[in-house]
Amino acid sequence: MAFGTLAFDTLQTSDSANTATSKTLDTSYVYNGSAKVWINFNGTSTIAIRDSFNVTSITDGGTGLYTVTIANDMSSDDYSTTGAAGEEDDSGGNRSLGLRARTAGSQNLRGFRDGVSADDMAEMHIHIMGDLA
Amino acid sequence: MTEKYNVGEVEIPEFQGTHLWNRLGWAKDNLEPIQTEYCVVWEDPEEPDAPAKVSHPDPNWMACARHGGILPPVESYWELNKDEATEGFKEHTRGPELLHNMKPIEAMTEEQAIEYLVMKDIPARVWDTGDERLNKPRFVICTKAQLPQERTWRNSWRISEDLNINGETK
Repeated sequence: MAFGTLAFDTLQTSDSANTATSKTLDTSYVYNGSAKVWINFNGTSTIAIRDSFNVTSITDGGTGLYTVTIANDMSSDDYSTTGAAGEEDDSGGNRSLGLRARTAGSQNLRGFRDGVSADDMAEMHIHIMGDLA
Repeated sequence: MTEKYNVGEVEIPEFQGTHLWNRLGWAKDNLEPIQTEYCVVWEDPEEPDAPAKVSHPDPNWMACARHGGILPPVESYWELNKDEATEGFKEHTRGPELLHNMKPIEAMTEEQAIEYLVMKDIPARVWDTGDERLNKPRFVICTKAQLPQERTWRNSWRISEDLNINGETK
């Protein structure tokens, strides 16, 4: 098993293939722009996580209601959550994802069918951007 | 694709002082996720009319718990929660002290990991009642197979009044 480390503060390119104008990017920009939490889970039947990062657990709180709990808390509840809810195939009508209560360590979600009624969703995807504790 | 390791197959690097998020990244790259059959059914006394909730551990997190040397003690999260509940809280300032520089906990059994999860992700008012005389348990650890498989009537799910102390629901 290899453990490699490449330490640098700035990425730089001559961009010779395109504009030939040198460009730089701070490493911190890449870090700050990375999703700190992400998850893809099935919210129907016995809910189950397909894949994730920086998640401790998910909680089924009732029809269409879910809580994602975070392993490395965010620095506050001012983070940005984006996501989508849907089905595994092309059937049915519109699906949407609602954001509900949050703390630095958890995000509540609700899946909606046709914009009106809460319902369990086969595809629940979110990712969270922001600063970590 | 990188080979991933099961419990006992790899020595966890010395992680004390490494940012927890980076440790979790290492774990995702190197540890085989562990899908447990256990979950936690619980009822919140502050929401008496709400249906029972069911918490499921994350497989990547469970791998970290079983291998040891990655996660902070659960008390770190309690301290973060206290900070966040303080009036005037703006943002966490004790992350390094509580999460990243704290000595990581040793490997846990599956049972210990679920207990850790209960104390981390479920409000203390559910599991730390301090009252043995309660008529009804507020949480139970059970297998997924014991959950109702049909989502119809989901919102009427309740912890059985006939629950016995071994966690078997009737």
